[in-house]
Formats: sequence, structure tokens, C-alpha cells
Amino acid sequence: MLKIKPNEYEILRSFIKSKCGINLGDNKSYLIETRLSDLVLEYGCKSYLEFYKKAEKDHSLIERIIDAMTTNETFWFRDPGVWKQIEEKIIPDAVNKAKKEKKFRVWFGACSSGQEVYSFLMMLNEYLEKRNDKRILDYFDFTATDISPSVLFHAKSGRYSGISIKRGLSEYFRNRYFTEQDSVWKFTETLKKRVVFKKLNLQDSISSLDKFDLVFLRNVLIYFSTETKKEIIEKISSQMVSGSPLLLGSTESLRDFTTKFEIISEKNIVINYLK
Amino acid sequence: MKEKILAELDKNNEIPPFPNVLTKLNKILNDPKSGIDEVASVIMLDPVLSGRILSYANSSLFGMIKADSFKTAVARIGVDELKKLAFSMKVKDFFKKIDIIDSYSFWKHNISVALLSQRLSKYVNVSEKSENIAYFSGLMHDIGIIIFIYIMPGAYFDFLESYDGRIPLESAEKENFGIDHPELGAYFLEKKWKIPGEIVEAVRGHHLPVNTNKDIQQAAGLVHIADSICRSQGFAHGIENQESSFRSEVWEMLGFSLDDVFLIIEDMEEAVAGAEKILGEK
Repeated sequence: MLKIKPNEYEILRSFIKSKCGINLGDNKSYLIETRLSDLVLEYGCKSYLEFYKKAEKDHSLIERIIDAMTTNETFWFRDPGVWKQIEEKIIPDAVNKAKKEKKFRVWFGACSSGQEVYSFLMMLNEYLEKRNDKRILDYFDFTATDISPSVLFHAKSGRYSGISIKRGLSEYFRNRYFTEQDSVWKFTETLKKRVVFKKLNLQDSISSLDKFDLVFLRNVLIYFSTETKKEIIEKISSQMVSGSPLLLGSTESLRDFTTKFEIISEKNIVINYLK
Repeated sequence: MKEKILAELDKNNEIPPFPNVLTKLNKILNDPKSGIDEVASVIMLDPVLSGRILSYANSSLFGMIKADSFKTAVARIGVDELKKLAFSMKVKDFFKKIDIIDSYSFWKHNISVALLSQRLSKYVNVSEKSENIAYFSGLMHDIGIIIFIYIMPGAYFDFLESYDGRIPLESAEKENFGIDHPELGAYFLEKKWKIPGEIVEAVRGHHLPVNTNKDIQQAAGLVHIADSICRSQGFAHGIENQESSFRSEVWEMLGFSLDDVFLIIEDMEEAVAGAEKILGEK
């Protein structure tokens, strides 16, 4: 991996902030090395400085940098503690509301290759099946968005192979919700078709979206600067129904950015409810 | 290192030459006066190839009526498709001696990418020329890997042993050898096989489809998307990283839509089935 020099880090750091709105801390040079060194070599550059000079003039390269900086490793049921809360609190509340209002809209704001979306669908399906309440699923609408068409393609195809089917997925869920063909595991059609996938940049206008009763925005805000974070949270809050939960990654917090949410912490897991 | 590798390739006499039958076929297919009889007579010079084409014409892809003569088979497949088919069937024989990689998976991936590149062109507005370049460059997009194996089997084997897939294969090749497989493949096709320049450029650009010529750019883009889809959907050739993503700007430049994902997946499955048919027995 190509090592970055301190002066190069400073230059790229401010460039990435201005072009992508992503704010890197003082000691995040490894983030640039792990995510951009391929790209630097691919573009035939011998140093990060040369790469920066190229990126300054090349819009498509900036897109690539955004792609590389924002692509998360994705897992099934990432952060077990959070998924326990989803199972015990978020899903029962959602089902109650869906029964009452005959409508419940869920938004996954950075769905990546779909693991979080399908993890939620599997868990919700389990809950409803145990209670013989599967018809309630019809009240749910699922919207999943991401900035990268490549991950959206993967998510929408619902097909996983190699290591991607293993990360965090138990044998129970895999055997119940996936069928294997030629070592590719395909997520069950009946649940997959309930999700609408769309390309969306959180920094653009999102007012064309619906109003949501539950929003997942996990491990996304960490990549943005304080200002951009504030803007995104503001926009998201205006797309949420009052009293609805917003789920963030386990290291993320709304505390310094907005007062619009009531932040409830239970068993070390934080859920943000729109006031 | 790069110059040494290219010099080695220049003087290497072991790499099979471009097959005679394809040179003749190429010539005859480009001649507007030639008909099915001429095409059939050229292909019949190669008994193995003609046998395969006959069996292909009799496969379920073409309905139930048996094509018993070679001429009927050629007519059924169509002269335009024949060139693609003959190339695909022939190309795997060029490098039979390769044993450090799984040659069947390698060609299955390459032929699938060729077939999918061609199918992808129906979703977007690309020229017929791009579609044709895409097929042939898809077929040969990874040929540089085989060239590495031919000219430096030991070093490339050691390299593959230590390659952990954390960075793209071409970046690792460049770091190790000063040249990557798209560039080496393009050099080989241009210098040794004298393949048309457009195909050479599309092979060179399949990981970075940026070219000033629009037909080449579109073709390299189609191959880039087809390659990435085949790899991430479980049809890699086992050397490059499976978890591949295509570039947003290429997807958008070509004008693809997420509405077509399911149809594209069906196309991919058909492309893989078509590749298996072309390759015949494992």
C-alpha cells in the first residue's frame, strides 16, 4: 500500500472536505491509504500529491474518490446489540403503529449492497410469523437509497457469494431466506420485491422522498463534516413523521448537531426519536 | 521490469500464433461477395471447430430441427454471429498448456463477459460498432494474465500465491511487475496477433474505460460493467477479487438504469449458460 506523507495528507484532507464534504480527523491518514491507494496506482500516479493534482482537474476522478471514501464494509446484522434493540423495541413499536395506521414507511439512507435492508426484513418477517400476523407486512413500504449505482445493483439483485454471504449471517437465516445455486446465495424473492432501490446523494435535495416512520442512517454521518452533518440531519428530520426513530451507527451521535431529536439510551444503545 | 517483460514477449516463440482459420474467416466475412458456401468451406478446414459449431447449432438454443450438414449449421447461426462463435470456440485452445490456473473457469468468465457485454448494449444507446468491439474485447479482456503465465510462470505463480485480493489485481501487478494485465494483453494482441486497434484499446481500458474515441470508450465501458457484474455475482475466474464494483461514472456515461437490474441478471445467467455451451465439456 502506498504510504501518505504528512503534507500530502493535509492537502488531500482539505480537498476531500471541499469536494465530498467528508471531514477526516488528524490521525485518519490510514483511511486515505486504505481507501485511495488503489485509485492512486490505478491512475498511474507515483504519489498522493500527483494524484491530487490529477483529481483537481478531473470530475470523474472526484466521483471515484467519493465512491472509495464512502464504501463501507457491509455485514449482516452489524452490531448485535443494536439488532437486539431493533428486535425488542423498534420492530414491536413499528408493527403496532402499522396495525393502527395501516401504513409504515422505512428508509435505509445508505443501503450499500443491501445487507442491512435484508437483515431488517428477515427480522421483521420472523416477528410477524411468530405471531401469525404476516398480513401486516403489506402495510410496510421499504425505500433503500445509496449514492453508488454499483452497490445499488448488488443490493437490488439480492445475490451474494463468497465471503459476502458469511459475514455475520447465521446458518438459520441463510437456510431460511436464501437459496443456493452455483455457490451464489439468492435472497428470497417474496421479501426482496418489497424494497424500492433508488440512487440518492444525501447532499442533494431529498424532498422528493416520502415521509418516513423509521430511518436507518448507520455509519454514514462519520464521513461528513460538521456543517454537512447538520444539513443532512436537518433534511432528514423534515422527511420524518414526528415521534419516529432514527438509527445511527454505534459510534455516531446527534448530540452536538441538533435539538430536534429526543435521544434515548437503553442498554448502551441509542435511539433518536424526532420530537 | 516492464521493458524486460515486453522484450521477453517480443522474442517468445512459444505463445501460439493467431490461428490460420480465423485469419481466413476474417477475410472472407469482410468480403461482401462471399456467401454461406465460402464461409462453410473455410471453417471446415478446422475439423474440431466445425464439429463444435455443428453441435452448437443443434443445441436447444436453436430449436428442435437437426442441422445435419455443416452448411445448414452455418445458415442457422447466421454469418454475423459465426465470427464471434468461431473466435470464442477457438480462443480456449490457444493456451491449453496453462496449468497454474483453472483454464475452464478462466474462459467461462471471459466468454460470459463477452456475451454479457453484447447483451448489455440493448439497454443503452451505443453504436453497433461499440457492441462488436465489446464482444471481442470482452472475450480477450484478461488475456494479459495468460501472457504473464507464458513468459514468467514461476514469478507470476508466486505473485498469485501472495495476492490476497485486498487491492485490485491490476494494481498489484503494476506494483510487482511495472505493468498490469490489461496493458500486457493489449500489447500482445497488437504486436503478436495484429488484432484491430479498437479491440486492443478496449482491452487496455477495461478497468479504466476512458478513451477519446467514443466507440472504444463505450465498448470498454460495456466490458467494465459486464466484468464487474459477472465477478460480483459469482462468476469470477478465481484470480481477481470477486467483490468488484463498477464505476458510477461509467454506468452513468452509458445511461444504464436501476430499473433494468433484474433483466440484466437474467442476461448474465443466459450469458454464463451460453459460455458453458460454447466451451462444451469441462
